[in-house]
Amino acid sequence: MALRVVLIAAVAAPLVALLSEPAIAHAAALRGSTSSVEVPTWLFLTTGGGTVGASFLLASFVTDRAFMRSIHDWGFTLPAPGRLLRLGGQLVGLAVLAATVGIGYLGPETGYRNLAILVVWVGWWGGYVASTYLIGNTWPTLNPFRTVASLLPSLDRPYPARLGAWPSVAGLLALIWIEVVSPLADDPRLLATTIGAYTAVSAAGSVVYGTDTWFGRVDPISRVFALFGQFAPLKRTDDGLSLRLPGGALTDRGAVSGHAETVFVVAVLYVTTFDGFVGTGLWARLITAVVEIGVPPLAGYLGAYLVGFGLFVAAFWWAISLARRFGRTYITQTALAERFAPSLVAIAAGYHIAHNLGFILGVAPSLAVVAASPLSPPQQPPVLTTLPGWIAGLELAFVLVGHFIAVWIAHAAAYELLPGRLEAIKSQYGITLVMIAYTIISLWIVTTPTVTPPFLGGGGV
Amino acid sequence: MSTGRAGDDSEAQNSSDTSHTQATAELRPETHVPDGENPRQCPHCGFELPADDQFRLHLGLNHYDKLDDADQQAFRDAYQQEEAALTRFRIIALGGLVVLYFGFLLIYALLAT
Repeated sequence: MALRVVLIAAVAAPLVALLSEPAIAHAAALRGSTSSVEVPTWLFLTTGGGTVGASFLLASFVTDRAFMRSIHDWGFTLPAPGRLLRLGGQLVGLAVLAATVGIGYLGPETGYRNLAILVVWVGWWGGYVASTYLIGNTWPTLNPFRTVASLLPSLDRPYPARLGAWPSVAGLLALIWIEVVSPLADDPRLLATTIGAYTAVSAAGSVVYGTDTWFGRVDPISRVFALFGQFAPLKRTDDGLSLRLPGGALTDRGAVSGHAETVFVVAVLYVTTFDGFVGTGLWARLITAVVEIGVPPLAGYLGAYLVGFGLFVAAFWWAISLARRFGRTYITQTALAERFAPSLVAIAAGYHIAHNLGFILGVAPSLAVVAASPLSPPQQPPVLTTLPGWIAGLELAFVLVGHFIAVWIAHAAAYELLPGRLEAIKSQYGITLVMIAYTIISLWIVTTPTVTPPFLGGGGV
Repeated sequence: MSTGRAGDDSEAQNSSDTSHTQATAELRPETHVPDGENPRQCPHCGFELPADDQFRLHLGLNHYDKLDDADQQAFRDAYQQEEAALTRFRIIALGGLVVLYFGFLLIYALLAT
């Protein structure tokens, strides 16, 4: 019985995805492209939401714990890369950092002609970040800030335990806030200075608390990559490289631990969403209206940023409180959140790739050409202006695939925590609703034409 | 909040059982019982559960070898009863899928021209 149901589910899940695909591919109007939408937007968005809902219903047919575990535990170990490779990685990281800061100051002032801008926003934030969840987290080795910090002596002061992951939450929110409101994506000098400041802060933190503590618990960038690395198929362990299914490690106990870390996961999802949201026409109209009644633009941005974050955290906690009620359990909300939060990492990864794929492919030729002669790049570095239409379809597919994996991770978490199989299904009501809502929001952001956020002065690459 | 009771029982048991129970106990998530509720506490790992069937299921799923025949039978009964409830849920879920699928199909047929 269970096996048959599993087979049906396995066949039906891609079918539902495929069935929704043509509509999505047609409806895609990415980043200001002028292709007409053939179905009403609300229908396109609810289809995305419906697909996620359907994947929950399909997952609910799988109630065999042993089968679920066998999926997540699938994997084997590969030999670990040697020390030489590690040293090579550190040197590459340092070289890229030095080149980025150097060219940032010495290269041309135009953003799209400066290697620093291209390396950071296209190579690193677009391409490299994708590698941390598609392949594996190589940041602990490459991280040039860590290499610099490890050269310095450390006081090894004990890290205050009560702070937990909160400083990394604040740090992440602050970093993305700076990224959104400052012309960091246009001004190479400012970018180089910011990277310098970041190096100084992480070096100072490492001197006080030690590199492992700083980059393991406080540094927001390292923590984001560590989370994405949990989704990735390859992971460095003591025995070597372990290979697992994407997202398999997110079903492990301890993937996220503590209240602050669950909020950090929500923050990762939120900041990428906000970054996209400020580029929508709706936001442009909203902030214009707010500024017209006399609110300073930056205060408007900050207010919306914090309120949005509050809403995301509240929605997540509401979902977890439903899990507690419908799951008929005494497990604390924090303990439930620890197991449900990792599912959001899959969504964040899917959204990140959807948000950046077209952009990276379009600007990648610029990166190559400018890297060849960083000090005297061509006046107009080449860009791919017309990407094939299926790229847009692929981006939307990534949003949905991220959600499918997330639904599955939440399903697995519920079955690990709750003894009753029906209770385990019911405990996912809240998180499924939140995911459906988020699918609709993120599909809307990804497909709505991008406009320059008003009042900020910068336009992005 | 119930912590620290982990594995008390298992020490009385034979040694091969000990590691298993302690492992489950360590993995046990934290609980909080609201005022005015009467939880059942698992005698093997101290985990608190509400209704009777949840308690039976927990015992059977986590400590099956340590149960006596009556408790094992109670677990099997609870599991069977759950099966019936699950079947009902699956029919509803299937209905939901059908509604979703044909609902969207109809809307697309009407609107997407």
